[in-house]
Amino acid sequence: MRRLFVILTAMVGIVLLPKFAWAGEIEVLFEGRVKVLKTELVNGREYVPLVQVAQVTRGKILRDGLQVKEVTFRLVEDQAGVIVGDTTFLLSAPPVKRRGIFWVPIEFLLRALEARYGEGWVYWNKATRVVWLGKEQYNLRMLRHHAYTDYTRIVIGALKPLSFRLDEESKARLSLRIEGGVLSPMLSDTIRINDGLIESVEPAQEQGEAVLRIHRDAFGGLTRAFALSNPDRIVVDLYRAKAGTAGVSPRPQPVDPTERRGSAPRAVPVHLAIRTIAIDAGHGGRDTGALGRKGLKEKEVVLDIALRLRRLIQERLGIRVVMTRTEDVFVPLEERTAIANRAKADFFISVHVNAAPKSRARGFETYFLSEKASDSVARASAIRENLPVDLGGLRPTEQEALKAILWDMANTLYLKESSELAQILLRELDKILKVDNRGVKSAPFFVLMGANMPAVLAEVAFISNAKEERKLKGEAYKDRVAEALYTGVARFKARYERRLGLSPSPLPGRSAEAAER
Amino acid sequence: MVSPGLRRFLGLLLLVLGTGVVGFLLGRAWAPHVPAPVPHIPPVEDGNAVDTTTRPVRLFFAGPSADKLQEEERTIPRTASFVQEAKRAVEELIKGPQNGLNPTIPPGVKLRQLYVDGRGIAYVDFTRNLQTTHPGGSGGELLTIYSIVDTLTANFDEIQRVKILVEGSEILTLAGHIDARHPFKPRYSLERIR
Ligand SMILES: [Zn+2]
Repeated sequence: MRRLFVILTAMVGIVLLPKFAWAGEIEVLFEGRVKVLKTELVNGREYVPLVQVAQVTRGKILRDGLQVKEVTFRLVEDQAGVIVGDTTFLLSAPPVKRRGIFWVPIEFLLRALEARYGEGWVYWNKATRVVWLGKEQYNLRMLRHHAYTDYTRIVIGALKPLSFRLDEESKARLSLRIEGGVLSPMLSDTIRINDGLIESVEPAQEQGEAVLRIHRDAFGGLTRAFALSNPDRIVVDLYRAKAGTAGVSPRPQPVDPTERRGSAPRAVPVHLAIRTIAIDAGHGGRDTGALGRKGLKEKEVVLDIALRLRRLIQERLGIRVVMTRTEDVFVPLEERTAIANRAKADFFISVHVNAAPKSRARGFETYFLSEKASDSVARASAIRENLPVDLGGLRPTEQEALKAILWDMANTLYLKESSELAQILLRELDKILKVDNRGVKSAPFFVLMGANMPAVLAEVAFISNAKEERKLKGEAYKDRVAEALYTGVARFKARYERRLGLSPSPLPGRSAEAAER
Repeated sequence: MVSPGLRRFLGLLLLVLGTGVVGFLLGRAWAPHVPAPVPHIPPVEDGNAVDTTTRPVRLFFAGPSADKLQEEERTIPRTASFVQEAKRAVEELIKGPQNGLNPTIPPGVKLRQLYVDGRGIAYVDFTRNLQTTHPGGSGGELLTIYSIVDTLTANFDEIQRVKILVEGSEILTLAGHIDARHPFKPRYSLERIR
């Protein structure tokens, strides 16, 4: 009995053992030397061996962690909390052990380097995968934002208290000037927010100050900026034009009739908010899709873009993304929407690259299902199977008739939303890519049929065009495409939720400042 | 207990109702609509000059930027049966354009059979390489499909819809995008709808 237990435990242990897979390299430039660290993927996250962290920090490996100068990091296998002196910081994923050696997520490396060289001196460029030690210490380390019902909050994390000033340069542009502010290299790119209120924040390092230019896309509204400490940070709240004072603006009428009867208008049905997005990377496996003249395959490019898009959505919107495939496998067309339906996705985006023979065609276009197709017999039957309504008590003929009507109504709505999503994605692609905008079109796409949700297909470039094929081989263009699609998704989500009056609002009974932590 | 899926669905329905939407059911005024110009066959005029041994056909090929179909007129022999003429028109389509437009059917593809049923549906049966050598892409696929469909419906009043077959069998799609399980109606414009 006991032996059986041991065997079972061992078996579970084997199943739970982390899987390692080669991920890449990180260059660390320190004290005039370059050290290349090899990283591995463990459960989808990038890890480095603690031994290598010790080398670049000139630290000492302990039985249960690492000592760098007088700072001790205590690690516990499978626990994300790292004890540093008398405080704890949380890693994005727990340390794991392989052959008795600790492996840690890469942010641990940055922390350990900071222990050696001081916080604010360690620079990490994700894009080039280089860690280096700066000549100048930065004091503005990060920016994050959150959309509430009637305002958007932007928070700038600082390493010390700094004085600042918020100027309204125009209705559409504000600037936050931080005296003596030095931006971390992580804050060098424009941050796209696109939540229907703020379009973007553009950081700039100027003489003696850091400037964050805030571009609004909904004009007017009150603004306020204040400082919080421990840790030091600067908070900017930007209200919608109509909203006069903090948190008491009238909310849009909820749609659910039970809400109208009830007295509390804030009890919004949360399940109507966008929680899950389905991304479909076209083709795969034996279905190669279109081919470039230099041999680039549609199935590979679109998977790459889809995975980039997934990362952006997860990181920036923090919502669930369901993929129809994450590797080079064949997935039947009808299975793709079935995956999205099962996951109860709120909308479905299929990513493809285009082709046309003997043509110099280039650029992007977006599609949604044509009305004709939605009326087709196939769609009607697909829909009846998916219809989540039980019409018990009615005669079968009545059920059929009612289902057809309900389905028609739901679809009409999906179609409207699909065309809107197609339009929004197209506009964002147009803003970021400098090629031909071929418009929104509609056609009977097999992969969009049977989707129990708004569904669109984006043809983001022509792989049959030599120049576009070349661009699709590089990282930068795929990043731009993913960025554009992400922005479209964020816009659609914000618009959809605003329309339903569903945007998240601060917790009741707590001040905005308290809610910020 | 109501499932979240049902609640969500009902929520959507209520939204439909709540936003004043009888119009959705009746008019669908928002719906994308591509106006299809009525095709016309040039009238055969009376008189001795008229050539009764040939007839003109309008073939639909891809425009230079592959976003729409453009016509090229060609002459084919007149026969006793419009089905023979329809076959010939598709064969001309396969040969490709002569005046600078782009082809829509991969080279080497052959027409196996063409027949028309009593409901005005033409069944056009191609060799396997229509699928296997197709360059792919939604754009390319739409051009192939509608060049065949439009060519047949624009020239032959007897044909209203076209179903594409490969090696005698129904296909799901030609190149992975467009649902080909049902007969296609003509679509004389592939241009953007907005
Ligand atoms: Zn494709």
